[in-house]
Amino acid sequence: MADISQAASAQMGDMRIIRRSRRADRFATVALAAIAGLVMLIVVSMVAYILYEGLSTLFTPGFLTQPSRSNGAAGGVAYQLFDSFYLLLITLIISVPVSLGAAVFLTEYAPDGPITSIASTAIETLSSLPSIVVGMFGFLVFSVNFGWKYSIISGAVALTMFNIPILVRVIQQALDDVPQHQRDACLAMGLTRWEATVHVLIPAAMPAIVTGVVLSAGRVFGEAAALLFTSGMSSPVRLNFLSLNFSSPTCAWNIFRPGESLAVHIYKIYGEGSPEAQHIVWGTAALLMICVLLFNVASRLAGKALAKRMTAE
Amino acid sequence: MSNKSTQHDVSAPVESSASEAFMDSVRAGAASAQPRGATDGEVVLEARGVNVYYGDNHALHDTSLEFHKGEITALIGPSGCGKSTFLRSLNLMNREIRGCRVEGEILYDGRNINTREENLYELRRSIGMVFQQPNPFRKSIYENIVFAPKRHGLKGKENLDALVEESLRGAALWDEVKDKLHQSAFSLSGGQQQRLCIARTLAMHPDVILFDEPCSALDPISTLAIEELMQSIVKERAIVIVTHNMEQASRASNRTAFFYMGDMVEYGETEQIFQRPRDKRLNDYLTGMFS
Repeated sequence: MADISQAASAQMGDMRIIRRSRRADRFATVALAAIAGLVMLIVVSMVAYILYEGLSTLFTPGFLTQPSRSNGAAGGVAYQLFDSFYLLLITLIISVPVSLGAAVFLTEYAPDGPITSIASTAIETLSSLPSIVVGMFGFLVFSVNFGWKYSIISGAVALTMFNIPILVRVIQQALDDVPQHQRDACLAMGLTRWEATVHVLIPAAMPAIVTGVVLSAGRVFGEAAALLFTSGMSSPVRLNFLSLNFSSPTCAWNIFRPGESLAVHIYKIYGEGSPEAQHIVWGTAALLMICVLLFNVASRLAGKALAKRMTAE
Repeated sequence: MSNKSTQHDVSAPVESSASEAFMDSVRAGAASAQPRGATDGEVVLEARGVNVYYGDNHALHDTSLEFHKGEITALIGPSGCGKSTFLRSLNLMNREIRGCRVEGEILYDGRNINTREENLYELRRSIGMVFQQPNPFRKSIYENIVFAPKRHGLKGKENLDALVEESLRGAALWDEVKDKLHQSAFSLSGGQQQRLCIARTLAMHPDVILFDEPCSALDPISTLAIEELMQSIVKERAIVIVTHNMEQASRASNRTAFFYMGDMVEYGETEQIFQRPRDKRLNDYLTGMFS
């Protein structure tokens, strides 16, 4: 008899534990859903507020096509928009090959050695440097020492230093995700590491690489602090897009002219504080945000499209 | 690991065990296939006193084996016994692993290839390898075959087309894929992918092909197809296969080598190895005492 009651109470104990853990599970589900909901609410309300304040300016005729006038209080942001994309382009032209080379070296040629751990630490350190410090360094080295003054190229090089750590890590990850047996297959057929990398591994990693590059482009596009002292806080008053005289200060394509990104433009005219400029600030903010969102969407689409093309050609 | 001292008395009588029924089925399997036995094919590849170290771990002890033209040699043994390590030494793939050291002589074509001077890229065209997981490239079926030969200098559409047909026919895959040569290799089934990998290896006209558990990711029907394929391509070359599948080893190979804890314990004609094992460890392994 004693045995039976003991067994019964043990069973009762089990039931209590089950009930308690079920309650905890339900509570956790509700709490986690609430937290996720809160995060979404913050994002949505921020985006909505910026669009609410900025959309009317954004759709004002000439905002995207006219240069800024009267110190930013009137006109549009055409040059800032162009400069942002131009800075991004030059940055990617420099940083993608460098990062690709570094990532290939680290994953394919020097795995798990002392060189790799030193290089990885260096890259991590670079990625955690505050961007204003990168900007200061860029100013002292490129603008002053190299004599590049406030220029697109100084800005692009500063952005490169800021972009390389992100890109190296993304490309390293992409290459690491290519299965080891693909490398084995190449080596077993008498191909070199270099042939394997160029003809098999990089193509296989391409969707992830493209996604990473476009995502990093979104970050670079919105960067302000690293550019304040390097590319400067003003675009030339007039830019000539048809000029191919690359040394002319008014040639849009001249990389040694100063340039101002959208983010720097917001910082400048918000700080200078004329009340008329406020709607320009909001319009620019909305424009910047939409561009960055588009980069995010584009990165996913491009990655998916490439992956699809490569697996079922 | 280095228990070279555990020398069992080779001539000790083998105990009968509870798993005798399993043994019978293995023997029946071996008997039902036509006996292959040893041939008098010339020795194509030979390992002499090969030792392999991973860092301080002495993974393979002093192993010597010969591989004959026209013969399939099976390497069997429990996981971690050194058979794959040995296989990957034969085409010096172990060199690609950091900290791995291969000592001893590996003779191919009359010369020791285990030297710093050996041209690995030439060598691996002559000693091909097929892996456990079918690993075609993310390219078309056609490109999978011509990719390496093109890198090695083969040119001309006619030559390439001919090579593709020859290799795919050799791998018994031509009829299944001849109308979709430019589709992705990933559209093929697992068994077809593995035959494509064999075709890709055949395209280099190797003298030796090393198979590293080529069927362990495949279903039984694909497995039989690969085994038949091995029989048809072995005539002009030597084949070495690592397998965990005892029936496969007994029905497909001419000779078998049994590895245990880094030692090559017993080597002989397949029929002898499976029906009259001399070493107690081999008998225990065959009767399922350990795996």
